[in-house]
Amino acid sequence: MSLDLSYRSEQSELARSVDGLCRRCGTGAGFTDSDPLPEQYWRGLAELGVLGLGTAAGGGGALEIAAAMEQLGAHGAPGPLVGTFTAGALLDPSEMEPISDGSRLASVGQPPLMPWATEAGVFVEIDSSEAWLSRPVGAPEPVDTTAGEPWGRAELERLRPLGDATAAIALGQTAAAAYLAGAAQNLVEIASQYAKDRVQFNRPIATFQAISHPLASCSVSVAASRIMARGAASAIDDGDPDAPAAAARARLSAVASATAAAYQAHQTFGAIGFTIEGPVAHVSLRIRQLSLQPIPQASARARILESLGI
Amino acid sequence: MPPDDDFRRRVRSFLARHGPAEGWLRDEHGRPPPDDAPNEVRVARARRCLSLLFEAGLGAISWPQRYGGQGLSNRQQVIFNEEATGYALPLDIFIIGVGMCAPTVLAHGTEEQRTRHLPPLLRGTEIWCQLFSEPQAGSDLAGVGCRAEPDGDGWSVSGQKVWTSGAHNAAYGMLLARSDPNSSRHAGMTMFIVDMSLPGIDIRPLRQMSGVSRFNEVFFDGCRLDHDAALGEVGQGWRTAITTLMNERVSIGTSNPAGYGHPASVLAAEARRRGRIDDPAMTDRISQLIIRERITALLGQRVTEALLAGVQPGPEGSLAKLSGTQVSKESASLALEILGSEAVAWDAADNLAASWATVQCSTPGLSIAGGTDEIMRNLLAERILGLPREPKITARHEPGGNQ
Repeated sequence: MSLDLSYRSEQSELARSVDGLCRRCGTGAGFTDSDPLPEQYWRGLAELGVLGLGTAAGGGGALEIAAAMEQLGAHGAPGPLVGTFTAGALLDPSEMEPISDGSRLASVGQPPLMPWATEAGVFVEIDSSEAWLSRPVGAPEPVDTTAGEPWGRAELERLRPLGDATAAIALGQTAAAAYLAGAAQNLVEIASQYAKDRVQFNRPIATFQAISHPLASCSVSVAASRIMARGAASAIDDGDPDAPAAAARARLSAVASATAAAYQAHQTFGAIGFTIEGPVAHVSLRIRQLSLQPIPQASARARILESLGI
Repeated sequence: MPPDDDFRRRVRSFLARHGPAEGWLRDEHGRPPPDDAPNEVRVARARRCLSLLFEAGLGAISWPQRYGGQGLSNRQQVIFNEEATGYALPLDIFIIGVGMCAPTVLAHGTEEQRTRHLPPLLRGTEIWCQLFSEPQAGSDLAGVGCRAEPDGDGWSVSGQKVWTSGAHNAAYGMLLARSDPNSSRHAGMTMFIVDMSLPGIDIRPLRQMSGVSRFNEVFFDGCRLDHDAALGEVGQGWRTAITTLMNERVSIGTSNPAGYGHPASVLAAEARRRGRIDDPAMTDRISQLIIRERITALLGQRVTEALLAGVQPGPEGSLAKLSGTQVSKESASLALEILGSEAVAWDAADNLAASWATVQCSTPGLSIAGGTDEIMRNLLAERILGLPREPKITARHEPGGNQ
């Protein structure tokens, strides 16, 4: 079995467009503004066709999603991204249309704590194997999160079973993995640059192996995560029966490498990375939150064991 | 030891009497009450707590009476600390003054400085801050560039300090400055006691990822200090600073065995509630955390016992700090696993400080504040293991790349 691990030219072009959009809408250092979801940015993603990727109407597949998500992760970009791609694999075209065109947000998760619940127009309840189209009973109670996303506590009423969620979970986990790998890649790059610029003890701190070796280790695991995410995306697009397990592996690998990269970026930047204006804090907080989506890590581990017949 | 038991009973009855009404109780998870009150309210609450302690003869327990303390033993201070861990006494804003500045004033100050400064410092009527770090002198504190130039019979200070916790509340600061312009590195620095209300000092807040503004940039522009502002000998500032830093690590290392994370017992209860406690991987992580908590507590106790025996804090403080940081990180990571999204969320009507998420936002700072993990490991390698220092690079290095 051969895995296609590189992006084709149309995927690279999509990635460049997403990168350009984020540069226009972010604030140089990324999305650090108080606006949790700048309208121009989300509409821009819809216009690029990103929000409809993976659906029959929107075209594209898991590799396009992974290519876009790597860029979004590198910018620490906001929005119910993982939920949107997960929903795309579950909902009917008519239900998906307003999500793909950016006019409605999808809240996909395990109640009562639902992502973007106070802003969402479509609710999908998902567990480790099945999904339901649902609606909140009463208004969701607003909840703040470390990533600055407006979540909500909601009691959900199930409207319609959406059936087996295995493929949707695989796509969601692959999307999350690509985002986290992109975020981690960016953190390792900016931390390495800072280590070259920052002088202490009369030398750039990058000349201390206590600084450079952990960054080198991070770059190894980040490179591995990116390959795992692309591999999982490829497997999904090829209809490979191993795809759900590949997605689970990619997601857990990306969580581990992004968590380590965030820690190392904090260590390299020192106190400046602990300020809210600094280049690390908002990404590191987002990584923590993204590491929990779209289903618990324990469910991802169970999926891997299952694939081994254990 | 009957006298100890009497003292312990006194402490217990004090805490039980005031705890509920003063809001010093922890919640059912062992978490302190929310800490997001406006700054003036926090300061007032802290001062009230300290004044109740002094009324009951429990303030500055082991400090000499002539400096405003109770003149009791270190053992009694330890007993107090043991009893107080069950509560959430709002004394954070005094940690820098009482835990780091006061021992430095005691060790290096003149008798006049001690009698002038220690009583109001210990009573909390004058809050202190520590003016050490600079933009170009973080881990490399010997790179301090803030200048103190002789000016008549005093000094004129110019330069910038940063990451100064509590500067906005401080009446006094301990300032490390370069007093000999021809010196470099460790020589030619002097420690000063600075009245923070003097002209020529500008304090600007910095916002932290934990959602609060507790540290600052402090700018000095020709700030005039009297000749008697020097703390310790002129030119011996490095020695004085080491006293402060050692005490800082001891303060942090012995503050709380669970570090700043949730205690393992709380996480275990949550795991049980969520039906995760039978997962062997989960019980393994929880028991590892319990072991690390115990190790941290013992390391802290070893430092405390050295203090009781009258030994100045050494690299053991670094060991305790490093251990506490690791416990906090593991606790934060385990909370994500057990609580899922609840670990990163809080009700909008509520606040970050009261939530599980506050741990996620504050742990990254622990490996940096009060000496980074890397600096702690250097100290352990050099001072405990006797390993050689990292070789110096003599060739000049230009900062690489562009930004």
